[in-house]
Amino acid sequence: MRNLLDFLKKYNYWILFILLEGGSLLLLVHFNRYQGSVWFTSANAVSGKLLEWEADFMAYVSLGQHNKELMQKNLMLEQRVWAMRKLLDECGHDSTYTERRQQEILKEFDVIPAEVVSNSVSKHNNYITINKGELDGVKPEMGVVCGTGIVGIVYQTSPHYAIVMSLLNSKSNVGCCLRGTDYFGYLCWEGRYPLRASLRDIPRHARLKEGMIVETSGFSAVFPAGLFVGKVTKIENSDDGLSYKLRVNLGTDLARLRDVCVISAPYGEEIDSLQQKVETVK
Amino acid sequence: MMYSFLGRVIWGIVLLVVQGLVFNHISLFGYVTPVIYIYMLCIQPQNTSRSAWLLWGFMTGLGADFFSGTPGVGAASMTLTAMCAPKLLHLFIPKDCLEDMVPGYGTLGTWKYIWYVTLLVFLQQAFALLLEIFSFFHIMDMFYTYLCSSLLSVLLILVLEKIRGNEIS
Repeated sequence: MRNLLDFLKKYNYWILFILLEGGSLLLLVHFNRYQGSVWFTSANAVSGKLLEWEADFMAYVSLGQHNKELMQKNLMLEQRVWAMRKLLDECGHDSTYTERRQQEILKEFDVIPAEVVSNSVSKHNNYITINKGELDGVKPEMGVVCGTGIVGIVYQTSPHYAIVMSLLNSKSNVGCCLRGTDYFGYLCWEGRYPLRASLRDIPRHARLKEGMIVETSGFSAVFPAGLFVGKVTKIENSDDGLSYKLRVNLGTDLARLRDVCVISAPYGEEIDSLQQKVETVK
Repeated sequence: MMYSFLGRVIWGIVLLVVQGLVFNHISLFGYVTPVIYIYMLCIQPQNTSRSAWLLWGFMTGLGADFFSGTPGVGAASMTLTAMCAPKLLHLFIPKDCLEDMVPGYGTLGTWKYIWYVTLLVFLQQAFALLLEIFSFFHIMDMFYTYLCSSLLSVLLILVLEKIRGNEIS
């Protein structure tokens, strides 16, 4: 007994080491699945608040740049509205009807504005934390967009914050199509370059050219159809040679993300439950 | 106590906050992120008990995980590094040093201190990389990340030590 006590006294740090290392590995294994880690990561109250303060400060510092960008964008949009009005007048359309119709389409979607409090682009699985959560109506599987295109999909929510799976995530798969054609594929990220993604599964018989615009297909309840994603910069064969793989220059610079909007599709849950029913029948 | 317990706690908090709010957002060339919280292990006095080394390592790693969204990676890698750190320090300490000697340019000598920090940082980064390895899918990128992040971290820690050294003197 005495020998055992002496042994334990002499090598107590080994026991402590095993305990601490075991605890750490337990944490690692338990929280490796991101779903369980919301409380422990940037969505928890303390670090969430700290990161929010930091984000507020950074936003204040870069207000000048944001203002400049907004003004440029406003100017561009005004020019486009003016050009389209002119075109509509020429075509003899009832412009008030078109505006009414646009408003009606937008009414179908609830848009929840949010601010980014934490963001990463350098990892292989990047996530974004936003300052809106369940209490603001944000739920998992909702689409997140910003002024320049789509950003990602809500992954986990806490009462005041939500974690968004960014487009720059190896697990991200967004259904997209090429504007002006019916060809669609899946947008995924292959790592390293934060402004570059790949559109896969485009059929071999598709007629393609560089510069084509990629937009959301609207096949899922996450994003409505027609949201800008990016432009095709290179056309390559897929690894198996059965389809095309398009290199897409993303419209959104996720490294400079600040203000985003969460889109809530009104019939999203209905579509999901229908799809689940189909899966169970299969 | 040349460098008090409280002083080290304050250093720890400052390092973790700076790491979480500044360095975690740095991504040079797309893959180089410096890690400065390892400095907590570099300022442990020679007479620190093995258990205390482990607790310092574990708590610092856990604090780093809190900000970086990688639960367990920092804690496990820092605990492992803390287990090896006393042996590493013994390789570099002079024979006639004080019992509560804190490693630094003055106490170990410049080159020995640089080697000590380099070994600690590369060891910790290797452990962290091994724990994250399953989520990585570009082996060369992974190697560049390891090499560049470690070198940048060593550089930053050497600068930090210079600042701390001036503070003490």
